[in-house]
Amino acid sequence: MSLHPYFEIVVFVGVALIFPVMPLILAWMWRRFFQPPKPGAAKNATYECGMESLGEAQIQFRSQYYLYAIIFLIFDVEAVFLVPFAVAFTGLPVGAFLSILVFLLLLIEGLVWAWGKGCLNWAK
Amino acid sequence: MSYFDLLRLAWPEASIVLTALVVLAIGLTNRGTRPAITLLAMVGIALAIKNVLRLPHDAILFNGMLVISPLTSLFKIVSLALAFFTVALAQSESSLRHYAEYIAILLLACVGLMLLVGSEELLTIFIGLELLGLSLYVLTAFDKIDIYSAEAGLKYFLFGSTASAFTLFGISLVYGMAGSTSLAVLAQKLSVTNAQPLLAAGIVMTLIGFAFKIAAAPFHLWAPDVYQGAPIPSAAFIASGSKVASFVVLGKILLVGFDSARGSSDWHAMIAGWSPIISLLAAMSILLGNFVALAQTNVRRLLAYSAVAHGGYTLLGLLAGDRDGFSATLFYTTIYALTLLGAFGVIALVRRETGGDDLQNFAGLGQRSPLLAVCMSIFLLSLAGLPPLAGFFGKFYLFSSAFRAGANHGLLWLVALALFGSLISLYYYLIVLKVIFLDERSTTATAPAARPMLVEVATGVLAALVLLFGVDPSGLVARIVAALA
Amino acid sequence: MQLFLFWCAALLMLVFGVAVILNRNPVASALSLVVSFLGLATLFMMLDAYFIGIIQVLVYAGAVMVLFLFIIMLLDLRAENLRKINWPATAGGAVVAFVFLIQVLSVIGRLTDAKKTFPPLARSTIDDVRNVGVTLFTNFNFPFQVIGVLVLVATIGVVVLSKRELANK
Repeated sequence: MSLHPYFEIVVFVGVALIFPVMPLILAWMWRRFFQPPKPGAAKNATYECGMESLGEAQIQFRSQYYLYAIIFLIFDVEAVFLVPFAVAFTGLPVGAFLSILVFLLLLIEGLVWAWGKGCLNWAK
Repeated sequence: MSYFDLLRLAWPEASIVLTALVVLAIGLTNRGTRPAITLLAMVGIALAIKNVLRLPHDAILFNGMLVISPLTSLFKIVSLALAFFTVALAQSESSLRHYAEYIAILLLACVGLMLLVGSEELLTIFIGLELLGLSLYVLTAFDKIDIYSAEAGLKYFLFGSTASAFTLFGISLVYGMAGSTSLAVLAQKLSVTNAQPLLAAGIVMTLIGFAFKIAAAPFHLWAPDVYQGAPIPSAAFIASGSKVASFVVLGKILLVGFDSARGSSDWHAMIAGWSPIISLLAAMSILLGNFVALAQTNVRRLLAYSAVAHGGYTLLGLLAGDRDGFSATLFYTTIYALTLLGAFGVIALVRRETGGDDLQNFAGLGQRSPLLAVCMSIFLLSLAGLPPLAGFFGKFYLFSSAFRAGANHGLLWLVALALFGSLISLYYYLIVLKVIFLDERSTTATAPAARPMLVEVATGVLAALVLLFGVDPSGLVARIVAALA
Repeated sequence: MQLFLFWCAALLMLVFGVAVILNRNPVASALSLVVSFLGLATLFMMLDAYFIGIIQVLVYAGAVMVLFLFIIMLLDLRAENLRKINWPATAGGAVVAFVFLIQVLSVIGRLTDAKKTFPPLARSTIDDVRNVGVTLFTNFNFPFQVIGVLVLVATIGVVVLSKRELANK
């Protein structure tokens, strides 16, 4: 019997799911069977290192983060194209190598430009 | 296929990309002054035109992803020339803070135009549309401190991305039916299979993206805000370059790829196909554009609505559907692009002097600077279609080709509608001219600052071109007809 | 088994797709979209398009969603307490969507080829990532390069538009 080439990944996903789900189920069962239900103001408060919690958990981020996120996204998309290139590398002609270099050049120009423009500096 | 061939045949595009990269790099250094960047971009464009001229006569790469033919070469040159004039307009535009980036994106948008013009394959056409669209969204919103520019950019982006989603869906349906994205193969496949509703759905959805690009009603909603709110060079480029390339590629898709699904839009003899849809778009654009333009008090907005109407006229040539009709469409859209670039040049100068582009800002322009006023009247009268300007010949060629098409002048209803629309348009163009020449100079006009030479020269050259192509259109027409042969 | 999995994934996608628009908390909406993407990725995998499935998870469920969450936090969006529903607009949108759905269904239903059973795909001898790579870098090399240019435009545009201008400049 020949296994599917991606069978290992399915097994991996299964194991990866069991690890977080099992403790959650155990915790839930513990609460269900052993914990007396006594909710109170102090008990329901958000745990904040023992201090009184201040303000809200959802705060406004600085727009500075956005630039990093978007630059990250662009290079993530680039990586998507690099993966098939790497996998198919042995079967490709020299021109394909040059063409990925051109592709990388375009993106590196973008990065160098953003760097030179001062977008990677943390503006106060 | 070899990679070397690809580089050789795509060298004009590649050289523009290289120019853009150099412009970006120079912009980071101290040398990145406006004149230096402008000069660099202009030299890059000129070199690219030279490279286009040195391309082989005929070549096809990858099933039509890159097609070199007299037609594509001609319109690559037209696209480059339009970008050249836009760079000239941008040089003195004070609202552009990141000038090097502006020029770089403009050049990359021009690459998008060249791809659209030079491709006969749906995938590359779509990527070209996206490249062009993305660059134009950025160019529209470039003056981000100005809320109108930001609003225009957002509207353009929202409408544009929805339209291109429909186009992509349509292309995928057509691909599913025909099993190929190459227009030539598509035409061959579609001519042997009988018409299926799925194909019709695919074609209609594919057309949406192009109707958006040429601002045909009811997909024109972005145009007034973009023409009015965007920085002037961006608006000029959207009105000229984007439109020319869209008409070239729309013509190729309809007349080559979907030719067998044409149908007929003759009066009382309509047959299902793309022709009735396009005729409906054309009729709506002509009526809506002209009537709404009557009510405008801002010159840029007025030009936007008139652009909707002109998009409608230009579609007539595609409806005629023969070689004559297509060449009339191409001639008209080229002339229209040159005219509108020039008109935006005048608007840029007026805006610089009076701080706005409403009708009253043009009051007294005739006394203030007669030469500029004459240029503007050349552009507006050419748009209205008066002889001996290029617009007259363009309209004549377009309407006569639509009139002759079909068995017994079936498109007469649309030609009559277009003539009626032109008549209305004469009224609002003349109102602008009346304000320019007869109205008293408004008191708010500030003392004339030193005019930017480059914009003046570019506007003058464009006016001369419009006059020249009106007096002797045979040169350009012969070139287009020969390219279509 | 295949059919059952298909229905599971499709249902997951649709239910969480609806949850994206119905949720009042924008963060919950964004996370529902992630689950919807996971369903889509499963569908791709069932079609043997593993590469696209994995990209769907990595890029869409990973990077794009991070960006969405960023924007939600940047704009400091809260759960809408009192959403005023614009009834004419909602009804109009629903009608358009419904008509469009009916059209697509009838068009696909009338397609004669759709009634034939699809022949099983020949199993490829090389894996799909390699297939994608070879095709991308030979026949589709030209559009690939254009995508490089497209990404460059996106980089410049986004940075220029979202960069904060210094006051004295």
